Amino acid sequence: MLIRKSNFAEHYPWVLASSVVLALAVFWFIFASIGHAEWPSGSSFPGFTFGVIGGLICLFEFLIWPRKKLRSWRIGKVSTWMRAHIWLGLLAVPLLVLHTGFRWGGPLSTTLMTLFLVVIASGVWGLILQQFLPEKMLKEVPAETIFSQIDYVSELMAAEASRLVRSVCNIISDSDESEKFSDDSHMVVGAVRNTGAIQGRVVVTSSLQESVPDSKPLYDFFNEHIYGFLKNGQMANSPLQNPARANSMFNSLRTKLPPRAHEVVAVLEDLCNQRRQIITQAKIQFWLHSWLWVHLPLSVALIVLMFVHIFVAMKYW
Amino acid sequence: MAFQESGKQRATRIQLDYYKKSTYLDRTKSTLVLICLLAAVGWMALVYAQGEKGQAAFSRGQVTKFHAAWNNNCTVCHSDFEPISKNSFTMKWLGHEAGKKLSGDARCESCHVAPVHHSNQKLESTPSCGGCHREHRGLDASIVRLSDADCISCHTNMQGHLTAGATPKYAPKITSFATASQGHPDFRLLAEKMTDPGTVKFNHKLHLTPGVSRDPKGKPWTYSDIPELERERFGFQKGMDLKTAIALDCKACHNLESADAKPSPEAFANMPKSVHAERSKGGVYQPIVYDVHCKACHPLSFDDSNKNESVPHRYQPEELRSYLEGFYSKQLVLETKEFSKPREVLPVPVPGKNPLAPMVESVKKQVDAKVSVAMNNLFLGKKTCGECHYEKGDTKSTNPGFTQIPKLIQTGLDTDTKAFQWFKDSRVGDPAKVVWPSIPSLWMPHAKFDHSAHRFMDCASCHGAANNSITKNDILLPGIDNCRSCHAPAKFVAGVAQAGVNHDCVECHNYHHGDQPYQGVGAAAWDPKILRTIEQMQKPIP
Repeated sequence: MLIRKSNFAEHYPWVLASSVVLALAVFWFIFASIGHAEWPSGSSFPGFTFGVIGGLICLFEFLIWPRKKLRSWRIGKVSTWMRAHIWLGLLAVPLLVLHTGFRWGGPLSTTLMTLFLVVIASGVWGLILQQFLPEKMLKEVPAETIFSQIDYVSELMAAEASRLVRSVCNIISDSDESEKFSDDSHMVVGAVRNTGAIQGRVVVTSSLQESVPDSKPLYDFFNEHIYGFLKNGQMANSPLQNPARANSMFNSLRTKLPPRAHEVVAVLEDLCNQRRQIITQAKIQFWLHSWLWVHLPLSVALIVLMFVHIFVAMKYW
Repeated sequence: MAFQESGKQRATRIQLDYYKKSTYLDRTKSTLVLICLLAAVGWMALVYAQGEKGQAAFSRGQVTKFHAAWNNNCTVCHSDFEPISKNSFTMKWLGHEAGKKLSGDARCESCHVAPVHHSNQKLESTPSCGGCHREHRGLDASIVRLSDADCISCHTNMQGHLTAGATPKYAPKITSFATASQGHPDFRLLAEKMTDPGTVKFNHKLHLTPGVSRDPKGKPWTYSDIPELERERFGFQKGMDLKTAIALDCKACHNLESADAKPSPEAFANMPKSVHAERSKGGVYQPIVYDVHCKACHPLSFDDSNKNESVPHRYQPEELRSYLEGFYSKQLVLETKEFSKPREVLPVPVPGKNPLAPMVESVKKQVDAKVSVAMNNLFLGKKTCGECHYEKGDTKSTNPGFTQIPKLIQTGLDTDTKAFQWFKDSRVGDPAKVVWPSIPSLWMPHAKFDHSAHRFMDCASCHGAANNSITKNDILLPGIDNCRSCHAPAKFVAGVAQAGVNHDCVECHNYHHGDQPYQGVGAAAWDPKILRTIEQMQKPIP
C-alpha cells in the first residue's frame, strides 16, 4: 500500500487515532509506575489493559489474511482493512512493549515478543518495498505479464521465435514443440510499443515471411543463443541477459545476413528485450512478495502461542 | 487445410485459468505457514508431555535463587486461576472474593511464617505474600526490596486501614521520606524529646578531651597511667612518649566487631561470651563493656596495700563482700605463721577446744575490718562504683558517688542489721541495689541502621553533639534531616551533585518486624509449625 503525500489524507485518521491512544497509554503507564521501583508488569491493571488491546490488535491483524482470501465478503474495503492493518499493527508495538513492562520474561513470553517483533519488522520491510518497487516495475518492465504466467509466456515467446526463424530459414521439422502454438499462415508475437508517454506490451499479428536465402547464420545464432534464453531466461546463463552485449551480438548477426532478414532480427531482438524485462519482473516480484515468507508464517505461530500465553497467564495469575 | 486461428484466439496470450495457478512464492509461503503452525503446536505439545519439567516454559522469569529449587514447578506457589496477590484487580474476574486470604499464602507460610505488621490493621488492607514479595524477576532479584508504593498504599492514609476504633500510633500520613513535608516524622526519641534511658553516668565531652581531665590545669591522664596491654587500643603508638596525654576518639569505645575492639587477652578471657560475642554482624555497635572499654582507666581497686588487685565487675554489694572476705581470708591465712606450722608443733589440744581458735577469731576480726575498709573504698569513694553507676532511687543525678548505699554501710554489717539484709538480698542485675546500666543496644526498634555501611564517615558528622555532651541524658542521635543530606533525591546545589542515595522505605524499615526480625518481639512467629525433610520440601504442598 502506497503512503504518499497525495493519499495521506486517507491515512491521517488512523495516524491520529493511533497517536492519541499511544500518548494516553504512555501517560497512564508512567503515572502507574510512580512510587514503584520497577515498571508496571503485564499483571498490573494498565499492563493487562495494554495486553488485551495489543492481543485484539494482533487478532485483527491476522484476520486480514482470510479477508484477502475471501474477497467476495462485503466487510469493508480491503484498502481500509490494509490501512488499519498498518497503523494498528504499528500501534501494537508500543502497547505490547508497555504490556511487558520492558521485560522479556520466560521462554514463552520471550518467544512471543521475538515473534511479534520479527513479524512487525517484516511487515514494515514489506511496506517499505511497496513504496518504490511497483513504480520501478512500471518504469522498467513495460512488458510486464502476470507473474504466474511468466513460464507460459516465455515458452510462447520461444515457440513464436522458433517458427519465425524456421520460416525464414526454410527449416521444416514436425517434431518442433513450437507447432503447438502455431498455424500455417500467421504468427503472433508480443511487442513493446510506445504511445506518447505510455509504454506497454501489445500483441502483433503478422504473416509468416517467405524464406530468405543465406540465412543459415540466423538459424545457428537462434539455436545457440536466443531459443534457450527466451525459454529459460536467467537459467540459460546467456550473454543476451546483458542489453549492451545483446545489442552488439545482434549487430554482428546483421552483418552476416542479407538485408531481407534484418526485419526478423529486429523482431528477435525485441523478444529478447521483453524476456529481459520479464526476468526483471520476476526479481521485483520476489522482493515484493518474499517478505510474506516471514510475515505470515510467524504470524500464525504468534497467534497460536498468544492464546497459550493468555490461558497460562490466567491460570497462574 | 490448416487451422485458422481467430483474432480473439491470437490475442489470448494468457491462459484463461491463470488465476488458479500458484507460483513458487505462494507454495513456499504455504509450506512455511504449515511448518510454523506445526512448530508452535508441537512445542506446546512437547511442553505438555514433559509435565512438571515443561512448566518452566510458562514461567515469566526465573525465581530468586532462594526459591530456585521450584523454578520448574508452578504449583508450589500458584493455585490454578487464583491470583498470587489478593489485591489484584482480577480477583473477582477469576471468581474470588475480594480481600479474602488466598490459599497461595498458606504455601508461603508453610516455610515462612511472619508476624503481622500491626495488630490493628484491617484484614483487607493486609496484602497477601505474593502481593508484596514479587517473584520471577531473576535469580539475583530481591523479593524483600519493595517499592514505596507498597508501603504508602496504607501509610498515606493510616486511619483508613485500621480496624474500627483504632487510632494511628504513628504518623497518619506519609507519602515519602524524601522531604519533611511528605510526612515522615523525625526519630521518635528526638521528636518527643526523650532522654537516654541508660543508667551510666558518662560525660562524653570529658572523655573526648585530650588528657581526660576535668581541670584544664590538672594532671592529664597519660599512657603511663594505664596498663601496658591496654595502651595500643587507646591510641598509643610505638615510639610515642608514655607521658603523652591520652586522646580518646569514638573508636576507643564504640566498636563494630570484636576484631576491632582488641581487648586485652585477660579481659577477654574473663568476659562472658553472652556479654561480648567474638564476632557480630557488624551493623550495630557492640555493647560498651567495662572489662574492655573502662577498666584500663577505671580499675576497681579497693585497697591501697593491694594496689594491683581489683574486684570483679558486675557484682552487687553482697557478692562483693563475699569476694572480699574470701580474698582477705586467703591473704591473712597465708600471712599468719601459725596456720602454716606443722600440726606436731601446735600445743596439745584440750578436748573440746580448737588450738587455732584464737587465731581464727583474730583473722576474722582482721578480715571484717579490711572488708569494711574495702567496701567503704568501693562504695563511699567517687572513683569506683559510684563513679559511673546509680543506686536505687537515684537515676538522674550526674554527680559521682552513691548516697544511700554509704549510709547503709555505715550502719554496720552485723547480721541483724538492715544493711546486712540489704546486701544479702542483692543479686546480679537486681535494680534494687546498684542499678543495671540498661544502655539500649538498639535505639530505633522500628528501623534498621547499619553502622558498618557508614564506617568511612567521620563520626562527628552525625554525632557531633557528643563533643559537648556532659550528661548521660543526652540522646546523641542525629536528626532525620541529617540522614536526608544523602538519603534523598539527587539534586544539584550550586552546581554540585548532592544526595541521591537510596531513600525508599525498605532502606530503613522491615514490614514484618523491626531491625532484628529474628530477635525480640515477633521473632517466634517466624518459626514454621511443620518441619519437613529435604524430599518433602522439594514437593508441592498439597
